[in-house]
Order: sequence, then C-alpha cells, then structure tokens
Amino acid sequence: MSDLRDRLAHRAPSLRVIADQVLAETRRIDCVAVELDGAVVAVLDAEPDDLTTVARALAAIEWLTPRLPDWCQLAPELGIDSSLPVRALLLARKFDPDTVAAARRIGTETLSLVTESRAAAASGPNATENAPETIPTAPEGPTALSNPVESLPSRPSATVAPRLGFRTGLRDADLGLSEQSG
Amino acid sequence: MARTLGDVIGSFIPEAAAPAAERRRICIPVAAGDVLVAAIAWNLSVEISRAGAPCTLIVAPAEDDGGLWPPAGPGPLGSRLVRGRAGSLATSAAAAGLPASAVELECLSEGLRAETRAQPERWLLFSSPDPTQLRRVHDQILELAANTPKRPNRPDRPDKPEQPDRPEIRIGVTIHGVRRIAEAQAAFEELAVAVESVSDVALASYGLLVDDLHLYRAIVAQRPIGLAHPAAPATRALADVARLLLDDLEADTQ
Repeated sequence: MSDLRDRLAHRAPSLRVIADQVLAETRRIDCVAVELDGAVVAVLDAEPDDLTTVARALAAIEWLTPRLPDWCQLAPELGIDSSLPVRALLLARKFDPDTVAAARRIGTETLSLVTESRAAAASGPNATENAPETIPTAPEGPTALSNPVESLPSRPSATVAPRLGFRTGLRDADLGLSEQSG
Repeated sequence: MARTLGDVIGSFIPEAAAPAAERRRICIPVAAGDVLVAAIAWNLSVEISRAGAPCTLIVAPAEDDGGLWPPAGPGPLGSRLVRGRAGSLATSAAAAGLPASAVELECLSEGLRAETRAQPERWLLFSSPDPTQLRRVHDQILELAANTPKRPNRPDRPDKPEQPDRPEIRIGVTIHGVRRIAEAQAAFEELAVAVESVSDVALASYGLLVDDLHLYRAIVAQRPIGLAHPAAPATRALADVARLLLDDLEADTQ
C-alpha cells in the first residue's frame, strides 16, 4: 500500500495519510487521509472501468462519517475536524465515461477523480516528468469546474513552451531537495 | 526653526512619505477557510518586508474569515495587517491612519472579488502540482481575465491580429507543495500553456514553495517562518518569491 501512498503524495500532496486498509462494513478503504483543514478523505485505488469503486467510495464516506467524533477523542493528534464533511478521492490512470458521469452527478464536494499518467501509476513519484495523460473533459473555461475529472486541458504539443518561462533563483540543493528525493 | 512632526516624519518612516499612487498592489484570491493560502500570504508579507519593502497585508473584516488571520496591526519587520472591505481596500491603510506601505497584498475572497469592480492589474495565485488545484487555478485565471477591461493590442504582437484586445491584467503563479524544482517547473509550464491556449494571458512565474506544513504551522503559531526558522528551505523559497515579486514591481516603476 506504500505504492498508493507514494502516488497520492505525488498527485495530492496536501493530503496526509493516517491509515491504510481500514476495514469498513465489509470492504477495506485503501487509505484514509486528512486535508490541511482537517477534513477526512477516503482514498480508493480505482480501475478505469470499475464503476463499483464509486459505490465503494460512497459506502466509505457513510461508514467514516459517524465515527469521526470518536476518532477525534481517541486520537486528537490526528488533526481531524469532524465537523467537516467526509469526501472520497479515486485515483486511477484514467476513468471511463460512465465513472465520470456518475462522479459528476454526485458532485466534486463529495467525490473527486484524480488521474495520473501511465508511467506515474507504474513508477510512483519518480515519474513526475510525465505530463498527465490527456483526459476527456468538459468544455474548456469556467464551465469545466463542474467536471469531476480535475485535469488541465492537455498541452497542444510537447514542444510548446509558455511565453514567460518558469523562474526561480534556487536550486534543489538550496531547498534540501535532490534529484533522488521524492 | 520650529517644525511639526508631520514635517519630519518622512525622515524617520520613509514609507510614510510615499504618496498613495506609488503603492504597489498585488491581489491574492483566498477561498473561504483556505488556511494554507492565508498562511502563505501572511508569511510572504513578512518576507517582502524583510527584503526592504514594508508590506501591508489587507484582509477581510474579522467577522468574515473565521479566525483565518492573525490580529490586525503592526507585524514583524515592518509588515502590517489591516482589515477592510471591498471598495475600501485600496484606501483602508490610509483610512486607518496608517502610513502607506511600499507594497500592499490584498487577500480577496470570492465574494469580495465579485464586489470589486475596479479590478487590480496584478494578481498572484498559488497552486500545488495537483491536477485538481491546477484546474481550479486555470479556471480562476480565465475568470479574472474575462472580468478585466481590455486595452489595445501591443504593436509588438503582430502575430495576434485575431485578438485585437488584451486583458489589462498581470497574473503570476507560485507553485507550492513541490518535492523538486523540476516538478514546479513542469506544473507551471503546463498551466501557462493551457491558459495561453484559450486566452491572451501570459502567466508570470513567481517561483515555488516547499514544506506547506511548516508554513501552515507558522500561521497557527502566529510566528512567521522567516523568524521561527530563518534558514529553513521553506524560508529560502519564500524569500525567492518575494524577490521575484519586488523585481517585477521595481521594473514596472522604471
């Protein structure tokens, strides 16, 4: 499950995993994580065409929600805010249209679909050079906010560069980072 | 010769002598309850001040933010936090009887942005490399550009004849929560190209930030990271962002 933790750290770095393989009613939740604001997130490793993962995510939310006040008493150091709604995040290389449609109906405040490149899924955070795979999304612009697949429109071409380049006066070494870290 | 305090105060507080028109203003969208961006903005105001430009952070009135910000008033290293409402934000420092600062950072929530019809020229947004956030910031940039008055196209851009007007807006992005500089660069370039493919906004890069948790803890403890951990990587990164911002502001005034 460390593989899922690594992938999650790469794709959703604001999440802090607090438990792996949590047994819910009859199935396990792959990861339970906490947002910076204390909101709890159920994370599930999904297959592109596995629509049942959406149902598992909803079941995980339903199972977690009434238990959070107890978790706060038992382990206040987890930083959970039980007053915030629990949501779920599905992580997959891509999602099929039915899954996207189901997630759109549920709403992004409850369920997020996060995609990763094929190489990132296979290699974890060391594959950060790979741009996210092209995902069929809603029309560009503000209306795309309603799309549960949170991915940018793909770059027109690998050779296209922005008009103003990335700037920093720092190197990885200045930040205690290295090419091997991550 | 007898002199009043007003005659000489500029000698002791240089920023007090700066006319309001010379204040340099940057707006930062802050979603309701977004503690991380609040923490970044507050720590950044201190770093800008440390870099020699006393910075005022202007935030929503206390009753509107759920305790997101430290108390109003003078802060470390010449920084200052002022509370004000949309419409009065640009003048709130003067209204409070405070001297003008070299730089003003205005933190605007969604509601305040809608109220502010006079759109500022310069915005600073923050995103992690997470696709969810990149998408959100992408849409936010397009929204800002769409609500900004147009100005004639630059004569040095003859390659854009189909877009006679350009948004009179400058938007910069800092990538936070990264593990490597290459990761920040890839995220910025992906965002910038995506924005440019559907608009005429050229995003400016304002570096990267590391160690979000450190920044977050700083605002909880109400002690800026630049003071609590002056040699920490997060502080170096924040100082680099401050320097990039000040360089651009300086270039604007020349």
